[in-house]
Amino acid sequence: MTSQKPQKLTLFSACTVGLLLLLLAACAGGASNGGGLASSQVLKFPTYQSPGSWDPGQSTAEVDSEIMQNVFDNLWRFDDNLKLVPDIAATVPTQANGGISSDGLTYTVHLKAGAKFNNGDPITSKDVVYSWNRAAALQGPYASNLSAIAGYSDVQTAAGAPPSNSSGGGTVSFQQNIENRLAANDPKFQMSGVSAPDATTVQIKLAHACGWCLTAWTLEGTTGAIVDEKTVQTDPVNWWSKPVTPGQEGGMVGAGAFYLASFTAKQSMVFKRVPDWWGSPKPSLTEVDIAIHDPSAIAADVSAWEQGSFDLLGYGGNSGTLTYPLIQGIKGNSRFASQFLTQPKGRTTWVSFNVGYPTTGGPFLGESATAKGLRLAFALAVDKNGLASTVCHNVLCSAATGGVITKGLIGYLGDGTDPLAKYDPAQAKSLLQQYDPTGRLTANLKYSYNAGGLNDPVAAYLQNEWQTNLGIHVSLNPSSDASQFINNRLAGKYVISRDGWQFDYNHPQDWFDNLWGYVATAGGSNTSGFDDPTYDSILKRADAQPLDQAVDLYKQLSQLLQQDAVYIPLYYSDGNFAIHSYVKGAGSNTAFDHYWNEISIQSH
Amino acid sequence: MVTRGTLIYIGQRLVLIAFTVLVVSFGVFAVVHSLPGNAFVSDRVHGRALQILLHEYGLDQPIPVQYWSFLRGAVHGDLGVSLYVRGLPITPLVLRELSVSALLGGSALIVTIGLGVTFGVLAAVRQNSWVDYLLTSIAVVGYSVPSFVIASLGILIFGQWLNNITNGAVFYPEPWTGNYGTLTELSLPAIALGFYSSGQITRMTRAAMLDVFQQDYIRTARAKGLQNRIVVLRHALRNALVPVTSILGPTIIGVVTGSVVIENIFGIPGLGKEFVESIFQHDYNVTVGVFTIYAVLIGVANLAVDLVYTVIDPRIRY
Amino acid sequence: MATALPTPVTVDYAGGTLAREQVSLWRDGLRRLRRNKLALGAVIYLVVLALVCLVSLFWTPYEPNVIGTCQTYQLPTAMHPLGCDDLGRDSLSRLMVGSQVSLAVGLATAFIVLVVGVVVGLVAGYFRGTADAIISLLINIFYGVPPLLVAVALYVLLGSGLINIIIAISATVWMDMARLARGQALSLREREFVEAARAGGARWGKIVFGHILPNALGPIIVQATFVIPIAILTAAFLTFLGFGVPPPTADWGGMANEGLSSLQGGFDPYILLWPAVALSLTLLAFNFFGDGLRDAFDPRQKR
Repeated sequence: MTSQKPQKLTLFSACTVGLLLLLLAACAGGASNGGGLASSQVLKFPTYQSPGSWDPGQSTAEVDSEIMQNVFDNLWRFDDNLKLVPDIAATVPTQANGGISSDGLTYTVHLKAGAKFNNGDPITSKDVVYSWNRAAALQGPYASNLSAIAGYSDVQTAAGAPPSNSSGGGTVSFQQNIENRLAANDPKFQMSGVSAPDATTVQIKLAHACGWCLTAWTLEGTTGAIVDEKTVQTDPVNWWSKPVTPGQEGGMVGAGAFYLASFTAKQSMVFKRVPDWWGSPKPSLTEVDIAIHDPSAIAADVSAWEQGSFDLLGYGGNSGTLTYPLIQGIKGNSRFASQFLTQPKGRTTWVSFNVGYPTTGGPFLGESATAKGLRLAFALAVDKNGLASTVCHNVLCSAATGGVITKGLIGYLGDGTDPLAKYDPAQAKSLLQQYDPTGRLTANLKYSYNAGGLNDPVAAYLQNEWQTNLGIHVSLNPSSDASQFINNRLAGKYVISRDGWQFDYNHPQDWFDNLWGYVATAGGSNTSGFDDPTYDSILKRADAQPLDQAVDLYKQLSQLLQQDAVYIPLYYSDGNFAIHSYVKGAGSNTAFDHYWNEISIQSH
Repeated sequence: MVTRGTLIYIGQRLVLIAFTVLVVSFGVFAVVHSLPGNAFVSDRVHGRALQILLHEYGLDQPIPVQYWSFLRGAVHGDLGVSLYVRGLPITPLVLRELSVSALLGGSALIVTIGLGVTFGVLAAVRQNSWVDYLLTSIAVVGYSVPSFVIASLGILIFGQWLNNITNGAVFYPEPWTGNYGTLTELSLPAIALGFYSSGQITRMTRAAMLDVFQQDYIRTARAKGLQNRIVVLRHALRNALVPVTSILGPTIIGVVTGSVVIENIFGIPGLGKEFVESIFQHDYNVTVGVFTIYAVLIGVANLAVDLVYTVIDPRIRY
Repeated sequence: MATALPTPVTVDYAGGTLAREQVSLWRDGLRRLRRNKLALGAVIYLVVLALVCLVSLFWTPYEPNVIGTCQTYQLPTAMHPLGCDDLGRDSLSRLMVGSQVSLAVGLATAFIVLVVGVVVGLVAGYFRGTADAIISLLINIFYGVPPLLVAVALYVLLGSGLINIIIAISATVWMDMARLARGQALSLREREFVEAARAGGARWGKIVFGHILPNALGPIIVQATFVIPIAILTAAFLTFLGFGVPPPTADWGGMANEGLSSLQGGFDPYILLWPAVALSLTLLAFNFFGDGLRDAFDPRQKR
């Protein structure tokens, strides 16, 4: 007896120890799996704006699309070099591979086998047809991406103006109505140009040739994204704002690698990896924690980043939040200097003149020699390089010398090629003498802009330049209410105002159509009133041709604008990021942050 | 203690509060809706898309109609949905932020009353000594220096210099974590917010204590041989608290007001920050909701202070 | 009742002065004020401030709004004794110009509050009845609302601009004055000289403003003095939050706002420091002055 007990005890202890060692080995083995990956693959970063809408049919803001691009997939996507690559579609259709018909009007798209929504439902061509019809019917800000498709305007007419009594009344709401009609397969709500010949093929017929359509349909986080009809029907208005609970209906369901696990308004959002995601590269990150902070906390957040509580700063559309003093602090610290990244972002800011609205008036109105001369005078009187160094310290922005389209995008004309970007105070002064010797025309000018951020110092700088170089006092008219300012600007109410554009997709049509085209998409953002038949006809031709043939035509449009001195180029925005070196794969291109499924956290 | 007169008084005050809240909420509603601009307009959203959005949220109806549907929901506790974060129900959001602000405000009040009364008592007991002059000066500095100055100085000292001096070993804690922050994170904002009002309380406490010291009954107590400390605390303090209570109302209002700025500086997710943001974002229902809650709070706080008066000074009856 | 003795008599003894010359309330008050060192210091500071403000209307060392007069974030040097802000504007010049806004807001608000609050309060206190009920209700409603929020709401409604800020702030501070004036009217209306005036056939206007007001003036003036720092403080809060005078006009609250982000970057604490110090000193001065004034005219004071 006495000899057995100790034996059992020894055996038991040995087994326990052995088991423990095994467990330890398993854990340690897991940690060092993948060669250097940290055991915790949770990415943490702050954002400084609350999300607006994550409904691909309604979203507009960059802060939203930066997140949505990881949750929703389109048929194609842009890689980190902004090239079009397949996503849910198997290939990029071209004329060479037969994806595009010879007349350029028919696109045939084959879907990848195995593509799934993150709730497990397979993606079929019916989902594509549904998503695009819904997007067209919603008539959201980016619905115009689909405008070239045959039947587009019919669907918009059918969806129509909302019923007279929305939320709270008896009749059904606008969005609910669209869902009902689509579920009932109402043909009036289907674009004739989109059809599903079989479960894995989608055919798209255009009403007219369109060289920019493929790019527009690829714009992530907007109308080209594919959504799940079943999910949308659970709550047509707010389905996207709810977290996804595995096994339950509803929530922010897309085809991307991540899904919304929790959302506390104005506090935090947590995204988790979709298990067995169908796409590639397979995500290493298991979770992305985004803290919603106030912009005033940026300095404290930089400290937090330095201490390792955050893995990176600037993601999520917040690349403009780091202030100059903070950037200096990071760059001046030897530990962190190499972890700082400046990336030009596709955003240009310029000064717009009232060229075409007679009711608003002003000395810049019209195409007379006087108007053009004065516009040119005001343009040449501004030292753009001085602005970039004084206001932006050459870190937050750089002088816009290559045309309106930002450097790095297709359509950029080359450094120093924009004649309006020249700084020539002598010439400016003589032009002023020639066209307004008495100063009567340029008296009482007001420069209008929306207050905040760089806009205030830029305005002060401009005022300074015009005063010093032209002797003209231009008073400042800041608008603390951005929406009011934009309203007025779009209505052409300002004689001289701040203007800018953040590009949507890498195609010059995005700029030239919206900003100066008479036949403008998206309801038009033509704030200057510029209206030139030559411009419009070249634009129409350029829009219809494939990009490689259209680039020259768009260049002509640039030159037209420059010859007419329609704007004063100011600066291209730069995005600033602070990314720890152990965060592999993180970074940004001109358009968007690198996808989350490309990021991994190394052990550190 | 609670007489019929008291109940009538409470009833009257509640009616006044309700009336005030109604007037205020309609006033603010009309004001924010009359502002040009809305939550949706952006470079991309205008024209048709904008009209559809406006209609979907009922923003194209006349203001009295909108107010009526807002009111109908509000009496059931439903303040509507946010326009900025589309579809987010406002009531839970605002209630959560209220709790955060209450935490901050409560901590600040503890600082205010704690510092104020302590300094006041010390200054009165050591009247005309260097302690008195120091504490009185601190008090005046307190209610002269704006709270955001104190907050900024705090950030400078604890966030920057301390960090630099100790080479990163000691630092002001990271930004507000979660809803309620940690104790260390709460300390600096609470002090910055509470210090301002403590000055008034110091001075009032000191003056009231000095007043009471002159009274005959104190001299009697001292003559009877009771220990000085007991004299001070038991007799003098109780009577000195009466005038202090009289300014408790304005003190609470001051803390509530100051919290707007402090929350913005430290990024604390409370009502003050929400209020400022919602104005810029044209998030009408949120603005009106926050304003209404503030009005209710202040009304109730004033009423509570007046009732506390009766406890402290039994001579006061309503 | 004080009557002037033909010869001043002062008798000293170990416990203090027994009797002293009898003078009017005002002269007595002024003398006491003069002896209050802190209040004197405050007055000197305020006089200097007013001078600086006046001078800044015509001249400043540099142009306060022109960017690039010196290097951005420059630390104090001989050329720029207070350094420069984040846009390269001379801080000293901006500080001087900023005093205009603060003083204007403080004084204008005090004036409006004085006029509106006193009139409303006196009328309510003198007439009682319905007028008093309505006015008291109005006062209570205004009391029930958070003042800063009202100021913000009004500012947002009226738009940016100095006058609008003044109106917005006045709307939140007039109640104290009105209540004070009402209390004074309530107590003074029972006095004999009011009865005498009424018996003499004087109209209510003459009674209220000719008889009651002069006797209530003491506490009213003191209260008005305290309105000034409150108005300046509220204005600083408003501008700090971003609801201020439109740029590029300099004002202390706006400068503090700009300075805070520089401070948080660890780059340059001075941009925040100067307007903060200026604001604090100004508020301190007004508070000390108000204190001194109140102590000087307080009949219960022994010294």
